[in-house]
Amino acid sequence: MLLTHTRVATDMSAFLPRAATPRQDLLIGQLQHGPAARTIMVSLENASPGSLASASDALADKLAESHTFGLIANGAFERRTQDRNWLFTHRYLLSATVTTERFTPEGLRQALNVSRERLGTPSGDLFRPLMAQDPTGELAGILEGMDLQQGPAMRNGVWFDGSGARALLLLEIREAAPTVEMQSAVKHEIEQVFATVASPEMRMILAGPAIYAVESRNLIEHESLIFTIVAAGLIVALLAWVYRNLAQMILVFIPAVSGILAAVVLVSWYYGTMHGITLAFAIILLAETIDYPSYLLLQTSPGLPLAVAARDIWPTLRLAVLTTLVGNLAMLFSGIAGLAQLGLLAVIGIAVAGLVNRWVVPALAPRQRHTASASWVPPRWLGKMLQPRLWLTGVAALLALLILAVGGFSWEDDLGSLNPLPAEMKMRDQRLRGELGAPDVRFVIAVPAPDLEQALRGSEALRPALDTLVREKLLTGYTMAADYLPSHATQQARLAALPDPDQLRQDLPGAAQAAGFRPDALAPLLVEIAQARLLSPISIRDIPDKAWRLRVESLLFTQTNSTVALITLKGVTDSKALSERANRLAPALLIDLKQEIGGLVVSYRQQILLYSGIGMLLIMVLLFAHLRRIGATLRVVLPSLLGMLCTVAVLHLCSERLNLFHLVALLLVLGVGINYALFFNRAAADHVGENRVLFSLLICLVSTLIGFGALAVSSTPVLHSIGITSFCGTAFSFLFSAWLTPKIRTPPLPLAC
Amino acid sequence: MQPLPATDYRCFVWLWLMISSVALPAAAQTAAFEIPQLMQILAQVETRESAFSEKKILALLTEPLVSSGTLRYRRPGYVERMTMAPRQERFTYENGKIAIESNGRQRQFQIRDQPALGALIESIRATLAGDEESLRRHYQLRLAGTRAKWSLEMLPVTPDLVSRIRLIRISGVQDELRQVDILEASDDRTTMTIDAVRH
Repeated sequence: MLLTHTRVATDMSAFLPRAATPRQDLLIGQLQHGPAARTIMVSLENASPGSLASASDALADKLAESHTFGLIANGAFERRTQDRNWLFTHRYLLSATVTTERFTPEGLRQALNVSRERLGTPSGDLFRPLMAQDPTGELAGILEGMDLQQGPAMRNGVWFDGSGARALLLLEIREAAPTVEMQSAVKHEIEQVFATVASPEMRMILAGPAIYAVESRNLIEHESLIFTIVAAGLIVALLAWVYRNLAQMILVFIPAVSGILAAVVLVSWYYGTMHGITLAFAIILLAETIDYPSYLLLQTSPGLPLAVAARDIWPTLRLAVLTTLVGNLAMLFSGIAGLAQLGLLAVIGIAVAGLVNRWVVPALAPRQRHTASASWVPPRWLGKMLQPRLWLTGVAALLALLILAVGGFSWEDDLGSLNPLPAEMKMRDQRLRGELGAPDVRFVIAVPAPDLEQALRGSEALRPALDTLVREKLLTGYTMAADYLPSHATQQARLAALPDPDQLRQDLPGAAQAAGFRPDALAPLLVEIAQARLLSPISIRDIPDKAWRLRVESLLFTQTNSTVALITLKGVTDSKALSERANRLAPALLIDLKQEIGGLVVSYRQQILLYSGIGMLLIMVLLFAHLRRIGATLRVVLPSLLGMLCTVAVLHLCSERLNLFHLVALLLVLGVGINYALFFNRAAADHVGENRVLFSLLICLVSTLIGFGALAVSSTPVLHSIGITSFCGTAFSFLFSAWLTPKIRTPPLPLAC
Repeated sequence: MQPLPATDYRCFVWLWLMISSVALPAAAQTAAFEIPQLMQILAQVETRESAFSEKKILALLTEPLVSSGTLRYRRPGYVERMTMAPRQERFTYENGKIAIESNGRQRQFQIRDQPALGALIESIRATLAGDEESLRRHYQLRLAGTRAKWSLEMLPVTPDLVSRIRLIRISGVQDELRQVDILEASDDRTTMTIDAVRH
């Protein structure tokens, strides 16, 4: 029941490290819920510009009917601000030009001059009917001063890309923190509306974080399924050849299946949901735990009762299980939800599989056993290949070290490399974002404050510094919540700046005359000012215009007892110079998402290295406790360590930069590699069963390689990283285990009871 | 005034005959010069570009407000007014959509959001394109003059236009527009003079 209800959560943000500082907390919040994260970019193509433009309009109109989006922009700006009456009534609170100087005789004359000139253009002439009431042009100023989209080219009245072949729209999801299910519903809604407005040949391309979340989930789920089927199919074929008997084959799967079932049920119960990636790791688990019954069934001589064999092999197998368990334990404490889940899944799965193999499998085994191992003799070339070769191992290790020393070793700290999306999709995002002039996603200024009012005041205080940056051509513009909703303090100051009606009655005629206005025509201003003086400052709840309010909300990031105002930047040309001037903005923070995420990844990697170091130490202690000799311990550990070294060298040769997932896969290699070394050493101790042990090891190796190989060809970078690392690592560890295990001459390790 | 010398008088008669020989066919044309013909000759022009100057006499202002710039037109639906003085602004109209560019910023809106302005722009656009049908949707039309010098008067018929505009008069020479007068209900009036066409 629990298993069928296992929710597969594929949100990659679960693999983001947990925030260590408030700044990083803010950053992750911005990443997951900020305006940039909620933006969907739409591109319509493959039709004539005329029909694309009509489709763009129809799409915008229909999407506006539902309440899914806070912002729908396709170039027809007026859609966004419909409630002009509200704006007009509150113009003296919202207009930045309302100051005491504005209503002095000289200030009035200047404002009236601008208004008169405005009448000379068609757009200014639109304000003529309001001119008597608003002669200083506050409404015109508000509308002109707003940050209007500059980016896209216009064609047929809507946004088009530079080539003129695609109509562009920009949508912003209203929901502050949409789940993947919501994002999926949003995507579906857009697609459905598109189907009703588009001509048959027209195509639509969607881009944006919300879309990627949905697409990457689909991709991962799809790939997980395919690879599970392919890998499982191949492994079944292999086992069918080895065991030649359905009952025995089923027996082989029992520890693995019970391990996975137990792990999935417990992980789902404990976390509520399970991540798609975590599920994909089930393949690795499957490949590894299938080894356990193989060791048992294939190494036992046909005549021996399996219960006795299980007891014989248990010390070795127990050590194999325990070392893998300890190696995976590190992930449990990694602090990343996705990896902790993985650690838990591995620990439970392996423990259960090991126990089932010890106590359940022997009881269920058929009395008459016949496997391919009984009569198998290793071909001469294989025997030769697996001869002890200490010098060759040394050469390989030196070569690996040389490659790494010459090539230089580098980590991949760009979180983008962990993004499950193919590169093509990332390109599409960049292109559309550029065309649309959507806010720069790399830089954002955060103004943390205890409450909304303080956050708005903090933003307003930054204007001089930001304007300087614009003058220095480091950016072309910025948008802040206070542009749309000034702080109460500012609104109060503007109210206070409104002149006394008697004073105004005295000053207005002179100023009007000087600016070429007929004084009596401007008499309505006296009434307007007197009424405006009675207004009280507006709050976010008072804004009746939906689009206006959502614009404010999208630039605010409210937490339980604090508010962060976000300032988005446009046209950042020189990011280095901008970062250098960030101190001018204090106490607000200039957040360079790219750099901050890089920092997060580095601190996370150090954590992983620390935990895997501890894991390694625990494995050594465990082995030493069992084997009681340093030489023997090294013989078991060294093949895996050298295997890891050579794998890193191979990855380097493939010009893959090491990321976190490579690192985690290396940790998994360690567990598998130690198993091989343990059993090679056991084979060396057992003269009679040597061939059977070798055969069982080969079968285990091949089935493991199938599982990891399936991952290595995945187009999802995360799965690919894990697959290729584990594939190489397993193969190397196997070879080195064989090469470093001395022939019978040396005293056997105390592995048999 | 001194009496004209005889030789000069003969010269005057000759001149009069010359003029009437030109004017008579023109007078004959007047009878035949109807709105469809005007529309037809206007519809044949593909592109236009001319300088303009505009004088607004407004109740708000003590002095007429003068502005100037360039007009551009491309058949059948693109109209652009580039105002250079008193402040720069590029105003374009195409397919029911208006785009305004000033101070490096661009704004767009639908004509349906500004119906009165829309009808006004449409009166110019439809005249330039020779689109009689569109003109008659908003105005009652009256043509005066000849092909060589005509004047088309438009009287609004739709209620929201009637409340704002009393009369629009477009005058022209052959297929060129030379002057647009707009008389508003508020008595505000605008006169736009258009220079000879530069094709």
